[in-house]
Amino acid sequence: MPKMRRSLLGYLPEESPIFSLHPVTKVLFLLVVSAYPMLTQLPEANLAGSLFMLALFKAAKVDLSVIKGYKMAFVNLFFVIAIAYTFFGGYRPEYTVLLRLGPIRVCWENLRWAILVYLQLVLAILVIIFFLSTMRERDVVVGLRTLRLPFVVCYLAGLSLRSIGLSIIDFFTIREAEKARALDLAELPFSEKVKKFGLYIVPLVGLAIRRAEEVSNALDSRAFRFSGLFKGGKRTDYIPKKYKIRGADVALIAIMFAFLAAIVFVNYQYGWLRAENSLLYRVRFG
Amino acid sequence: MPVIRMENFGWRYEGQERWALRGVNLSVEQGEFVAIVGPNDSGKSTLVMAMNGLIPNNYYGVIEGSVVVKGMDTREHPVADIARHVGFVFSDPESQFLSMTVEEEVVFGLENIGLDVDEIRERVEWSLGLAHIPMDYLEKPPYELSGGQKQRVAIASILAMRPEIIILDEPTSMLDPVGKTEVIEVLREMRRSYNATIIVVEHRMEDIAPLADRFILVHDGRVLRDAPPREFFDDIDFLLEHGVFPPEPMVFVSELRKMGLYDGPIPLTLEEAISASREALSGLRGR
Repeated sequence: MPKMRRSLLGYLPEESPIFSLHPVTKVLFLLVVSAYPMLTQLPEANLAGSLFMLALFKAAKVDLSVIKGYKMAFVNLFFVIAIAYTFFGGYRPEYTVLLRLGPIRVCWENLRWAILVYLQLVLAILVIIFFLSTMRERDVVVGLRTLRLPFVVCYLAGLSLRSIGLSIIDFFTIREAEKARALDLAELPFSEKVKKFGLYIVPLVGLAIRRAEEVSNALDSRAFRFSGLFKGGKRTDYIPKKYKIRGADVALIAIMFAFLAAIVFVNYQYGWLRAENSLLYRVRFG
Repeated sequence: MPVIRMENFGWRYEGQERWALRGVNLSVEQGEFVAIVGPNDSGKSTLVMAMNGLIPNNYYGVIEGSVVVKGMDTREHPVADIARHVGFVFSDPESQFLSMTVEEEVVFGLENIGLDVDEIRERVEWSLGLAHIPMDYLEKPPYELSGGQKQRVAIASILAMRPEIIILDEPTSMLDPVGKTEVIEVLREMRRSYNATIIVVEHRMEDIAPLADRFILVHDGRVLRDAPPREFFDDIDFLLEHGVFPPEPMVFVSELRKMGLYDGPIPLTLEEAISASREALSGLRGR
């Protein structure tokens, strides 16, 4: 069993190459790679981006079952987008109607947009899952501090990310408590699930408020100031000083920015990444 | 000069009719080990939160009198200022963790007070050693340690700041018996090798009695008794009437005293209780 390190979303083996990178490289990776699906409409490019991300998951030794946990979310996301585009995507006479359901027309052009947007979102979600699976709160704080962001911004970002993990733990605790008293939402029909949702939400919100109070007391009791300053001096950055930016970090950051610049250039100069260049636009019906 | 002075102190939480504390007059000297006991909801936590400024700074309510800590009036100084002199360990170890590794947790307060990197490194080693936490735990998430280890990490993070006063609010209340023993052992070690003022709210009186210089009984928002341990436990019935349950060996010896079989002081340790019982038994044989 390899030694594992905790990440924001689970565990990562210590031998993962991701640990040899400086946190600033990982934070910049998130910023640059999440910009990619926003700049790229071309579904083939986003699909390639998703495959690239899956390869990165493998290379970073992230347990792929993390993604499997989001399987239903990916499926639901597609249906939500497809339904939204079908109902609110509009209609023009030149549209190809695939199906009529009473007054509702299911058009290929709307469905095509749904596929485009879906693939953009899938890539964005994979980037976020990768980020959370490979980062620790400390990496976020160190990464942002290296970028010279104010201490309060860095610390709040780290604390907010950690609160997601804490809320998930609280949720499971509440679920176990509900199960122990013979209430298992998984066993109930959908309508009952919705009705009983409050039984989870109310204690979850209550716990979140209590945690906020406890964290606030703990911060104050350890001389924390949001300004990062104390009487007569500046807060020490002990943890960030433990990290060194190496050649591999510089090379990766350079590649990421070059890639971003290239994407912006080809998109705005030649329009190669626009939706109209997709194979989906060559599909004809009838 | 006392390090903590409370004069006619009272506190009522916003929205409550009852005063959580009222008419409290206390002073704590440098280097004293003070144990605070009392039944649930008697005002013990409010009392210690007033000693590090969390009350009145972080809670809404009505205040009476004053609390002066190391010359700082808690109404006029933020908790962050007072925290440089007063460390506070909460009862729930998880609620005080602010980071995802033991190292960050211990270092957090030290970064806040702006120590240099070498000093931080030295203090991390010292405080973890005192709290019996191995150095190879630095990379571990504190959430994944055992209850006792979690509380010892919390104590180490406070010790690292080397405050002159350390307050522990029921540090063993959420731990299993093994965890409780581990934490008490750290308290013993702190008493032995760290010359700070230690204030503990604790129900395990049998462990604290041999360590404490003073016991304070808080009941219904008032300080009912404030005395050295032997004097404090001398009237066991009074303590029982006010919701405090002294260790059983003390109650046993107190009963022997009532029966006229023993007339010495109330024992603070099991060993003392055994020798008091022997004394009582030898008296019986002589009759």
